[in-house]
Amino acid sequence: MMKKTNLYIALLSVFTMINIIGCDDYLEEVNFSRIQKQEVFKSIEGADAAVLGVYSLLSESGPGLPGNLFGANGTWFRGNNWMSSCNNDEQLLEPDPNFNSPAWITLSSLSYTSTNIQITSTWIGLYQGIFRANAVLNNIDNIIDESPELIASLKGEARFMRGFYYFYLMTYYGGVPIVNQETRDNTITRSSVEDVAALIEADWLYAQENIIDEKMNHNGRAGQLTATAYLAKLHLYLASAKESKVYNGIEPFPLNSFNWVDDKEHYNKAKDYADKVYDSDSYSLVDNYGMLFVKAGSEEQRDEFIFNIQTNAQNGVRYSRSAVTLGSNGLGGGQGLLRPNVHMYDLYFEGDTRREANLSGGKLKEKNGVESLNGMKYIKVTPVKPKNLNKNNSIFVNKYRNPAFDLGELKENTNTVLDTNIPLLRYADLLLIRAEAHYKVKASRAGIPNEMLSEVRQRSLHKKVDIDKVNNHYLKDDFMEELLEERSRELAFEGWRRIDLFRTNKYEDRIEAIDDSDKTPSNLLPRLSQIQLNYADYKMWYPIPQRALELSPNIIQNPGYLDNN
Amino acid sequence: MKNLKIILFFQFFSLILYAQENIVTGNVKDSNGDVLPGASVIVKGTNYGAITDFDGNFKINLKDKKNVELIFSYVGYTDAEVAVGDKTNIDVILYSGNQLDEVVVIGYGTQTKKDVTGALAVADAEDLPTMASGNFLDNLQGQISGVQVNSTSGAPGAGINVSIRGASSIDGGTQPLYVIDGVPVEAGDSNVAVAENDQNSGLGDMSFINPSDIESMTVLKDAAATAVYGARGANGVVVITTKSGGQSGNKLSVNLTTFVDYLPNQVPVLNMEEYVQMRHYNSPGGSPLYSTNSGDQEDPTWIAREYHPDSIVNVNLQDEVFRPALSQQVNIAFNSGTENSKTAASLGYLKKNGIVKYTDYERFTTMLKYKMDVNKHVSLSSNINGSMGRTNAVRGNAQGNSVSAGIIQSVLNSTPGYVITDPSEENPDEEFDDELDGELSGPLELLRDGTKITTLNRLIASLALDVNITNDLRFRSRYSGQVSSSQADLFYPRTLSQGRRYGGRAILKNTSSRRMDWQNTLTYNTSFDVVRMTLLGGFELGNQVKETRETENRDFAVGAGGIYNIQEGVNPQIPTSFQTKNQYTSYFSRAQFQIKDKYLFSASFRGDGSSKFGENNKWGHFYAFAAGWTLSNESFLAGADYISLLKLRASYGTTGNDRIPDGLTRTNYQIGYYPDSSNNNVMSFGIANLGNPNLKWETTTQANIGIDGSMFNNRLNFTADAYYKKTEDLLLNLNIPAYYGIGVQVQNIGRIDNSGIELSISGDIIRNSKFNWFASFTATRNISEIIDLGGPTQRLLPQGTSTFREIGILRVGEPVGSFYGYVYDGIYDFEDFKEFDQYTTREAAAKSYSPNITYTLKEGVTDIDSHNVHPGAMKFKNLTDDDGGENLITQNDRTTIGNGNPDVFGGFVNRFTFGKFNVDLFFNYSLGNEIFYAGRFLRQGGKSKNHNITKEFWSSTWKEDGGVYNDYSIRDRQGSSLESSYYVEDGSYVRLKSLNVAYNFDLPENSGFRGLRIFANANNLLTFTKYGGFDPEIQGINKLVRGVDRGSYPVAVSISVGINANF
Repeated sequence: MMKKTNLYIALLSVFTMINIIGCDDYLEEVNFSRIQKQEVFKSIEGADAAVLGVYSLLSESGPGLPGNLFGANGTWFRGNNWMSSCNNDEQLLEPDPNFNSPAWITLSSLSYTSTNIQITSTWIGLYQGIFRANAVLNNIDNIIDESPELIASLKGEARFMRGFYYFYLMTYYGGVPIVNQETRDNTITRSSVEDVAALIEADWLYAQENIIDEKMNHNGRAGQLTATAYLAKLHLYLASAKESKVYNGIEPFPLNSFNWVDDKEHYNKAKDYADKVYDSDSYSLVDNYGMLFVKAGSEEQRDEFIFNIQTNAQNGVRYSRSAVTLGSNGLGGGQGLLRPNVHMYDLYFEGDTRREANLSGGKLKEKNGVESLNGMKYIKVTPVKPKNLNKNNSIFVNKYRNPAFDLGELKENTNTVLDTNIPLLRYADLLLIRAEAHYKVKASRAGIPNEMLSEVRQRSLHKKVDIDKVNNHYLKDDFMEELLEERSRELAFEGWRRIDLFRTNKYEDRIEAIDDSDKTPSNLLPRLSQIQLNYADYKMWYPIPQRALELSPNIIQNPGYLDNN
Repeated sequence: MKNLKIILFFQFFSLILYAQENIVTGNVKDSNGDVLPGASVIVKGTNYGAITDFDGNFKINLKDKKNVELIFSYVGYTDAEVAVGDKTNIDVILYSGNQLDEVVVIGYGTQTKKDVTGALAVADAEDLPTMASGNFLDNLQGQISGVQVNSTSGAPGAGINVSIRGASSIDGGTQPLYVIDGVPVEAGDSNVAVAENDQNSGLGDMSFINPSDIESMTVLKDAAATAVYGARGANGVVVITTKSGGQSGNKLSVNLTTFVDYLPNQVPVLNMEEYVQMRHYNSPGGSPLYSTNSGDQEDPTWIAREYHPDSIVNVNLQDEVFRPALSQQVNIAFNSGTENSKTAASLGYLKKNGIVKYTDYERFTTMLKYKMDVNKHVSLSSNINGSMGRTNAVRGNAQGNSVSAGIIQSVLNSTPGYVITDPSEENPDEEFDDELDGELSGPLELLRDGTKITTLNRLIASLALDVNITNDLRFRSRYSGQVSSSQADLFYPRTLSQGRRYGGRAILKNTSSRRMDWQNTLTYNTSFDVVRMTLLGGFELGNQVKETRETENRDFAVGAGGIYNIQEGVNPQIPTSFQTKNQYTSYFSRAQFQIKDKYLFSASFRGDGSSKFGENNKWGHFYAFAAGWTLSNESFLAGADYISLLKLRASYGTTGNDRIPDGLTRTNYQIGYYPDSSNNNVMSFGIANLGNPNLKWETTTQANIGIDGSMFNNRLNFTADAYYKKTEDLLLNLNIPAYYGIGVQVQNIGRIDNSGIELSISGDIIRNSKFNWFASFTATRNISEIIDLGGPTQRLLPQGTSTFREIGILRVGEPVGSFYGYVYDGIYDFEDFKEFDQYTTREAAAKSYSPNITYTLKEGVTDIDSHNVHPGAMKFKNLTDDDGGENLITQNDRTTIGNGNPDVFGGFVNRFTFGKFNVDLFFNYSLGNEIFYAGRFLRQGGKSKNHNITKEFWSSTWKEDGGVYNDYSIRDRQGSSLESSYYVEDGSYVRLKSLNVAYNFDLPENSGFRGLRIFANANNLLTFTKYGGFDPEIQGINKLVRGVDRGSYPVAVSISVGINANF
């Protein structure tokens, strides 16, 4: 009797257990904190968040990157600043012994290889952006009961961003693989610059047609005119690259060729698109140049930024590592690892406020005192001391500044978070694009080209300074030379210099022309000589990352770079 | 077994009744002086004998004393034989030993030791050395061959890493499975909350167990032993049995211990006068404080002229920060037994103060174990094990995450005093304050004003029902639940550099988990003819839910806030929470056969299904076979009486490692944020991971052969094993093409092999009634080899975020845990540069030298890419010709420069007993392991020109005076900050881990004591090593790379005295 009871107990337990195991979903994965794709694209709100996800990669540290590799931060979180700014005549890497990421040192001294983690993570980050855009485009049509216009508008934004990421891929690496699906195909090959440019143009044209324009009020999101302005940029880029005969290998390398470009036609297109934005009166130059870079989402930024990265330093969305690349140390104004060259100081005429706005003589310190800009407190800038220019640590990037927090004692803001929106394309840039395009179309600087230069200069002059005197001072016989200088003056440390020097084929000239006399601080001299020594024509393109070559065997390397180097 | 003893007791009791002649009495005790009730006393060659009573006394009536020998035996102890002669009183001490009839706990059951066919080893808690750390894993070090134990830091409560038979996983975790009284307990750092990007939480996840609650530990090593744990068995299994209630009566044991911990030796660093000179040399023309304003740097009187000597104030920061620390431990254990029930209860309290001020560890443990026989067939047992632990850890990172972080480093590197400057001047030190931004606070201020508290509260409760369906067939059902909750609370006020950049920063982080496990087993035990067999079948199911939540606030006014007033900050960050759940179900079986007590066979099988596995691989199946041959029972060895046991074992089988992070089998999106036009965050979606529906466990196939021997009446015992382990389908974070949307995906690819030999030998070297010397020795050699990394031939194992972070590497063909870097090749000297050719003497060259000049290397001298080399800088070997013959050191010139794995490791125990004294000496050793001493870089002023350095380095660093120096120039902050063989040191050591002296009082029967013992213990008293850092046992941040020392919390010498009273 006893034994039977015991047996029953045992059997009961066993059967209960089998019953539980028998439940079909017992071994299904359960995730309370994770979201599946079908849930994202269930509603227009989800799709909108997915479109924001395409933008947010601009400021993300790069999810899914091998993030624990030092410096492996794609896009603008950190990486793009290195790719665009660390090895030209605007900034030089301070040989700081405290800082020894080989990726950054080699990138900054033009001795990088295809395994450089920055070159690699920029590639990854940009392609992730493209993937996110593709995910929107592939899935958004599943949403039913929404207006086709709204869907098309979101698609327009996704396509704008896809074009945007391809544009940077093209300028850094040349012809790259085109991926327009959420693909899992590693047999992919590189497309030519021609095909990539065609895709970018198509995407931006679609965006220009389909984005519902009230969205333009959203600073960080693309509107129709954002696409238009970028179309001007694209065509100017292609036309000037063709015209200036950008290096294309000892043996011509068809993938990166600009031979297909009809430069006249593209200059004309650039002119038309620039005129279209100009004539729309949607943007304006603000009075105070310096205010553009200090407060997130200010009136000034809304007026002048055509496209920008939105930031919110308080809540974790950050444009980080600006200290390293741009020189903002917490409060701003210095100690960035990339130091402006002395010639940046000489570039400005006395009374051009852009000099003080862009350059400082040292890290901002509490004892400098506080100034109030638009109702927020900022530490006053440490001015550059002209007599100290050739000394070490005499000149720093001052462009981006953080407000000082007043909490009984001054807060030393973090040196990794910058609390201001970061411009990607400004109206001033568009004016200079317009100047260049009109000059190229008419082959004369009279009229619009000169007017545009004056307009850009005018607003940043001290009240007593005469614009004619300034125009005279900045005047160069070669209009393009003057224009490129003006672009550097106006757009300093905004990431355009390398691209400008590249498309005009003046990269080598400018590197060689950097003054290595006693004007350059001695601690920057070694870096300067390394850049000059290591420069080679083929370095105008970055190498395709070794990682990409290994994972997709049909992708080939750019000329000049060894397959394994 | 114990039931049998009770029966014997009654049988012998009846025998005693009928003879009253030659009465012999006596007492039986164990080597600790504890009485042994129920020990059997048998007349040799007969069945006649007696049993000791509750006080260990026996009385036996003998017909003929002269030619009689008595055999004293007790389970778990070695038999003793005593000739009676004309003695009327015989007191015997029995020694615990490798008793062949000892029952060992194996997976889901027990087995007699002589029948074991797998590679397993048992450590009885009472034989383990006393360790001041309070972490039972520490006690295991060197005790069991094949088990490598490394403490992560010397901080109180710090974690301890255990790996069994080498690391066989890369991304899947290498920690073994712990089974506590039958309940599987997942070990892993993820149990402990970690705030801040600090990979060392400072609190070990297994620290929740009080070592004094442990009765024994069995380490299961080969597939035969672990296959029954299937997908969780690949890293080995540690089966822990806690103390149970005794046979009968009530027992109370009280143990009080007081510890004094101290830092064995300070590192001599420069004092303030020397420091000022060093700074002056280091940054000529730099700041007004450290050079003459007149600019005449050669002027030896410059300090005196600039600053009055009285104005220089020395501060010995090591005196300020380190302290001798007094700590206490109280353990109270109660156990009680009646015929039908057994109860054990314990309370433990440990308060350890760290040798770094403001650091401590406090733990409260309690255990209640109850077993009741409901009737003849049914019994119930319940276990409750609760623990509350709390560390007040070192602020900043204990072991610096970046090379400049870490309080220990900052103690050594900080300015060793200050100079009272002219108040009218602007503070000349300001420039150096700037340099310190974000790197270092004054160490004492950081300890005093910062908060870093980690708590770990765990509760394990289980209820088991045992039903003897028939005499042979037993059913057991065990249900267990575990709750774990850990908090990491962190606060840095704005006055500290760690907080300044945030305006003060507070983080509250909680990690908690709930686990449930239900096992049902049927065991059938039978014998027929010459065959004995045990069959086991069972089901198991369970689930676990893990949660983390984190709250952070910033911008606290001075004096405001802290972790208990986080609302006082005005800059709250977005709070986060995360939950994962996984469920598993398993079935398993095992068959064990013993034929003629000579031939042993076993087979086990397990199927594991888990929600963590991908759609296409829901079930994993694991098996093992083993055979044993007891040679000593063969007739050809029948004459060899000195051999009690000689057994050969062989096993082969598979196990798995299922430590796959949750949620990777499906593609998931994650929520991010992107600011809208008002710069307020709006939700965004981005892909979080690319799902892998094929994801599964890592599979380890292991073959093992072994030999067990016991000789000279069990006085000498040895075990030797050789194994080969192949781990395939490694869980690897593999690169995937960027246009797949994400950079990496976890895949099952790659392979690591481990092979090795293990030896343990023990014996009673001297055994007599006056003096006993027991010694045991273990040695392990494990060789790991990475066979496949899923495509790439190497993979860096980054550590931390700054200098030397790429020191660890995995390379195909090399062991797990190699160091990677440049090969040091001396230093650049004058003759390497063109400019010095014009000088005929070193002195002249030195005189012309200026640190501000860029010198040109001669043809053929190796240059370093993108570095500005100068005399005194580190030179490296150019290994690859990747630079078109330019003789440049590039990243490609890095190679394997060391290996943190020891060639051999183990321990050596000596246990002496004489009179009432016990003296235990326990050494552990590790030979052939190398250490990358990153901390040396800082001590040598590499990081920054304002860091203090050691006196030793200051005397050997290259100087421009024309002398010949061994070490690189203090001004070289480029080459010296590269990972290079310069920092690789021999980390071999032999350590007197524990020295224990105990005295057992002889107390009268009516004293109320069962035993009284006082003891003194010293941990880490002596360490023999050539290593120059604090502790050669150091474990790096990345568990796969042992021996990366960034200046961790030094291990203390701990002296303790205590008293142990049994009532």
